[in-house]
Amino acid sequence: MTDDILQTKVKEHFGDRFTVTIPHPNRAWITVSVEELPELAKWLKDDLGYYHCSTITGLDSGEVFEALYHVTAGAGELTLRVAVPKTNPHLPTLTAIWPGAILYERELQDMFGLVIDGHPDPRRYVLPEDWPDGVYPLRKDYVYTYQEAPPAKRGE
Amino acid sequence: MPTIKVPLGPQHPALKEPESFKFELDGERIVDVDVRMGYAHRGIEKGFEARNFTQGIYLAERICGICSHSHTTPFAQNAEELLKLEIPPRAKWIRSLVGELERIHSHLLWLGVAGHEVGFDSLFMYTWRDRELVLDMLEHISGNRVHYGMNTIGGVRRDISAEQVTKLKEMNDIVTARTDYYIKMCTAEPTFMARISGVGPLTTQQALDLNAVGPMARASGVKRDVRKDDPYAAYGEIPFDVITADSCDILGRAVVRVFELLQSVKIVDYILKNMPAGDIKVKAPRKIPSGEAIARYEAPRGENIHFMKSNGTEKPDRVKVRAPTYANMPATIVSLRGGYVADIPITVAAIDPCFCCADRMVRLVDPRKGRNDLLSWPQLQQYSRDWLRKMGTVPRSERSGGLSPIFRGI
Repeated sequence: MTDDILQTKVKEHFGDRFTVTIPHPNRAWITVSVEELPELAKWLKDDLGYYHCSTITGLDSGEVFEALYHVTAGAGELTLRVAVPKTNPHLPTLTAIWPGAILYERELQDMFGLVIDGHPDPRRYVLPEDWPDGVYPLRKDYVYTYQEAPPAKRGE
Repeated sequence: MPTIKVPLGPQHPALKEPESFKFELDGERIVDVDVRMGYAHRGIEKGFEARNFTQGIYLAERICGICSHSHTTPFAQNAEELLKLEIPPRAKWIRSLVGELERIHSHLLWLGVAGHEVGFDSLFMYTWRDRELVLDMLEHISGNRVHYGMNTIGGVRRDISAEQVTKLKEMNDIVTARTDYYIKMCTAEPTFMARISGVGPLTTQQALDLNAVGPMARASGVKRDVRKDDPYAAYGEIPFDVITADSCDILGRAVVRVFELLQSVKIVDYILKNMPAGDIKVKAPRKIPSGEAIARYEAPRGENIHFMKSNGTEKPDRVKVRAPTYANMPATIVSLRGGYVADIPITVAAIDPCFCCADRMVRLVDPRKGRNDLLSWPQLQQYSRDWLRKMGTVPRSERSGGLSPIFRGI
């Protein structure tokens, strides 16, 4: 899927609802609201052949959390940007559209505390079972405290 | 007959890496599989946020021990995209050269592991012997066998001299001849083919739906290769074919990999003959302007994706890494279902897994009592001390003597 075909198709189907921005060749971005996300995702897969969800990136952007869905149909990489409020971070599951996204959604729950509504298997995936509840390591308020160990002395 | 549940791991049934499978078995047949990863999540994504970009490239190198170049290249590509830096052509060709050498040694390693898992240890010894030639050459050109440290933001750190090109050509000729032998082996050796044919099935539709990547997807007839689809480094200028197979089983994954070996040695040959002269790097500033970038890279195991967000400082705001084994996990579960217990090691090894992690918890299942306990690290330490006392040994922590501090806790 080349950049201009994608732009034309989105324009034809959705009019001005979504804007495709292309900051770099083969890297398209669409900003979408949580409510519109499943509709857009389904259309991308069924009509344009975006069958491959590469991964989901979580972002702590100060006021909001953002989820970036990286999807591809061969050539370019399309990213769907969704923002959710920090007070009520809920996202719908997209596993019905991209079954391969199941583990990425679980990782998003572990690392950012986003709640994926309707997820078929919402157990922990990356973090251990004895990790405290409500602590999400990739949020910005989780401080990185790891210190490099001092180099070992001779004879130790 | 009721099914029984068998835990396998946290040690890998095929490679020496930690992850845990829970198999639900009906006799010898696998009914269902549950996989648990993250035993050795090292917090690298958080670690990137605490390091500057130059340190980040060395951290990226250490994500994986086999495909180290496959992580530094997308990291550097992202930084260069944000800096709007065009790297010299020679640097791009050297990146591709090291990437292909890495693919050759990784595929040879896989072929050896696959041979070992199906009881064909001569193959394991042959391939690992030939792999040494590639590792020696990588050491010759970069100074290291696996963590080459070739990439830097703005190009590569070391040039390839004329004398090194001659040596690389000699090595490449030997590996090309050996590759022909391995191709014959994977396409004509009846016992090897009979053992892996039809094992670990994954249909084309499943590979598409479950977002499989790399040789796993290509062996199921999905023609995806980032080097062709979205060329990076010098791949836009290098002729090569994307290898696919339609047998949708482990034989297909083996065939795809040996033919990819052939493509890789051809690419190395082409690079050595056509590499442009010139500079190998341009100077990059320490601070990287705000912005977001995505880089894709075809690692030996499949597609690597890196996302980078910079906030205009010396340190990245966020770096996201998606390695190919992670993407192939749902497809592995499907390919294990319906198979036999004896096929577990080869089916898991067939994705060429790479779980780069360190243990943090242990699951203990007592088969007689049916107890399923989770032990935290202090509990595990206590358990091991009690066990040692029961066996009549004094735990190390209670012994006197000059022990290394890392052992003192146990």
